[in-house]
Amino acid sequence: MNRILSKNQNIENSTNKRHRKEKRFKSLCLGAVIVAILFLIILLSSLAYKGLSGFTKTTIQIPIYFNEEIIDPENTRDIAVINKASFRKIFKQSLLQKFPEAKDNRKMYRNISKIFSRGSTYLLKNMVLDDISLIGKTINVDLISSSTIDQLRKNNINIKVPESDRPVSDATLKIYDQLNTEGVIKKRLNFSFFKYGDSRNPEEAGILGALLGSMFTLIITLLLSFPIGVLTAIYLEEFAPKNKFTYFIEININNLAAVPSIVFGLLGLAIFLNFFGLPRSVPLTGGLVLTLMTLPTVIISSRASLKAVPPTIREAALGLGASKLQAVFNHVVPSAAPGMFTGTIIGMARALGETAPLLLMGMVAFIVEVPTSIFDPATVLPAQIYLWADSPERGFVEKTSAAIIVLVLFLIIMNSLAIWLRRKFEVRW
Amino acid sequence: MSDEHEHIVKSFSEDLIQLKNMILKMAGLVENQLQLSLDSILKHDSKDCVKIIKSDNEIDELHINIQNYVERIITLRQPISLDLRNVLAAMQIARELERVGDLAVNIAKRAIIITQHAKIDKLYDLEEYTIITKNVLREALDAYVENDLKMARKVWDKDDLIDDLYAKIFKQLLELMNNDKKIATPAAHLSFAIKNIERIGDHATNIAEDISFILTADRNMHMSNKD
Amino acid sequence: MIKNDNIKITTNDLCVFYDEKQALFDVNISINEKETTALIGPSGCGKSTLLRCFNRMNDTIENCVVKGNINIDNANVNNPEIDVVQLRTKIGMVFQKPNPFPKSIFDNVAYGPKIHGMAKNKLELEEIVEKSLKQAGLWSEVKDRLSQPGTSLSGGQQQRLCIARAIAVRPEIILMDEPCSALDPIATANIEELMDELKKEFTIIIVTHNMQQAARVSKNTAFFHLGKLIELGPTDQIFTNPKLEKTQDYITGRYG
Repeated sequence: MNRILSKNQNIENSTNKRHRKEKRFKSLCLGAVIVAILFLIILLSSLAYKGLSGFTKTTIQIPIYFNEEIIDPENTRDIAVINKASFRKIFKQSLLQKFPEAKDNRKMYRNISKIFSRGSTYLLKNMVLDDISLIGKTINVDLISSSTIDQLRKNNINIKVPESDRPVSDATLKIYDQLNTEGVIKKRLNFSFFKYGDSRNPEEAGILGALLGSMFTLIITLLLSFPIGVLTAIYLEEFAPKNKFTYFIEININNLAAVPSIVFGLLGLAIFLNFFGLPRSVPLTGGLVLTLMTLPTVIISSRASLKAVPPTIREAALGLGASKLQAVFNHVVPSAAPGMFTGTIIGMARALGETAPLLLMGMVAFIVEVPTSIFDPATVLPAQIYLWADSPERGFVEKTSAAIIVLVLFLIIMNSLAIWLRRKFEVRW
Repeated sequence: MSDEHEHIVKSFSEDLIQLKNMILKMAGLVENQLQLSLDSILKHDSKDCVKIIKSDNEIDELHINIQNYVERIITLRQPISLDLRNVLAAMQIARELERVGDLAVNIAKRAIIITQHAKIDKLYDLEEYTIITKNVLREALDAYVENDLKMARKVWDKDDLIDDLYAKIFKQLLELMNNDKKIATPAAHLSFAIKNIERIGDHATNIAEDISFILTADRNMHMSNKD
Repeated sequence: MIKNDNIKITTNDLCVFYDEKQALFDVNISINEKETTALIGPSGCGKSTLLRCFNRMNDTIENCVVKGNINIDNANVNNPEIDVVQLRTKIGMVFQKPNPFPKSIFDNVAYGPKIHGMAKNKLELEEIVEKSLKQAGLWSEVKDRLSQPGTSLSGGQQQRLCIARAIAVRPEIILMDEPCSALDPIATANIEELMDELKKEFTIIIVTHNMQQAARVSKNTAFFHLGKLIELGPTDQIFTNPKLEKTQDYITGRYG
């Protein structure tokens, strides 16, 4: 067939060569995509494998007797009194009830009590504070197990090695098996992961502190970088005269986008902390530093969107007698808006994942209290992940992966939002 | 002259040249017819007359071709200004030539009858008359070929001369008819023939006006006193 | 020169420079009121530049310097004290490629009157929009879909929308820069018919590459060549028997 098209054998040969080259190129690209997908699958499955278990916790059901004599002997039902009561005694009493063999055996008791989370007594206290009518009753309480037992149930501990090499003693194992046979060991969804802040005990560590810290920081970053960045881009693109000075500014902004983020941390340290004396470790300062880091991205992408608006629209507006300001804000900016939004969200997504600049702001730290405002000390998600990854306890491994899953989900949501916004407002010329 | 510049689209220039050539071909045939018919009167010989009458078909055919060609150029090229005038004038000139052809045929028909009688002598101005008329047509066609306004003007000015000669010869003919009643028949036909010759002169004048229109955009030769 | 009924625009020795390059050389032209004047000439001859001088659109181009007087109604508008925004209300412009705003049809036409405060309330604005669309010959085609985007119309309709948009601010002069060059013959004919109607109320200046169009729509034609005004005269005279050989060469296609 191609004989008809090419009278020249040379042309036919070169055409075939070109076709072959194209096929090779396509296969190469396809191969690259497959490799990338493979890596992605490995990442996601490893995350899931390690992290999904972090969303469940282990509870052990024990009957607890809320002995009035220990809690509120004079029947005052006064919060202050209840607060001061020794719930440790309640705990011990109920535990010994369950395990009478530990009555006079201190070592055994210790083994047994170590099965439970160190925060169990606080849990019991809070139960009573929430519901005073519990006083005097005996009810089955699902106490949270310790991290070791939690990991045991999740089969993360190798029990085949000799006793001295493992974190659980044989005695503990025996009790665990006994309880297991009784059926009082349950698996629960770990909502407290999202309710509590950081803790030394892996079973109590939650992500709320970091989540809120990230949110507050991002809000500050967004509120500052979006208006400043967009308005700067509008000024530079539409109003500023095109001379050497503005050209110089443009080069510098482009360069700033490539500066390592820790440099911004140093800048923030020098200006915000040392010069202005702003508080350390708070979302306010963290947000300010991240704003500096995100601004170049926002400015560059906003400028690109503004440049993409055809000049005919500006001319049409000016021709109608609109002032330059009106032409820009009534027509050019709305058309460029999708690109600006996308650029901002991408900048935010980057800021969400940054740790280095915040390091110098003191936000990479062990902070237990959940922040309630931008002035409270806080940490951020990536920092939390780093801290947990660094901890020795076994229980933090799954927590780290779980936190990574949360962070990835957050990023996916933000990027999907960017894509949706762009699609929705896209104007076809 | 704008003619010196070629059209950007060469085939447009070629179309206009082709049109001119068609006119000239028709003109050649018509001049030939005219020559033969005038000779048949002067030499008192009708040997070519039948040929003249038959050849008129060819001239009519050329006329139709030229009209079609003009329509084609207007449709396909949308000429304006100078080019439009050229094309419109070509159509008019073709028409004038066709009329001259018809008049030559009429002269030939008259000649057939005239030659059946004795030659009429003593029309001393007749030869000059035919020569001037032939030349006037020739000069008009030359002016068309050369785009020469001066030449066209000269042709236009000769119109009066031809009219005067016609009047003179007609008067002579009348006198001769009065003196000798026997020549009434040939004389009558001859008077028609010399009228036709006068009309040929008019057509040559019209061609000169068409040329002036092409070159000056003015249809009225009276007004264009310049050049 | 041309017979003057009422002269709307004149220029005195108008020169335009882009950096070092001069685009217009001492142009002295005169435009009559409520007539259509065509500017013709080969590419780069300066006709679009001249058009953009009238409504000072050349101000938006960096490095463009305009020297000389541009008199509209005997007032020189090439004067730094003139409010360009006001001037552009008086002079509307239609561009080569239809450029409706990416907004609804209604908003396109309403934008001008809105920013100039020509309507006291919503009802008045709607009346202005309807009147302008009717004048542009577009009302019957769009009256049921005023909220649809202006870009959803066909090319010819978009251009009529741009015309409606321009006349909504009640200008006195309409400048058209090759308005039909992107349109098919029927859309072009519609626009030419529209121009015929519009010239009763507005002074129209049209730049066109299409000589037959200039011959069809304009009363007077100005021929430009390499930045100079070569000949200005009544259209029928320019196209049947121009005075200057350069003009003749251009219109017959002997330009080369």
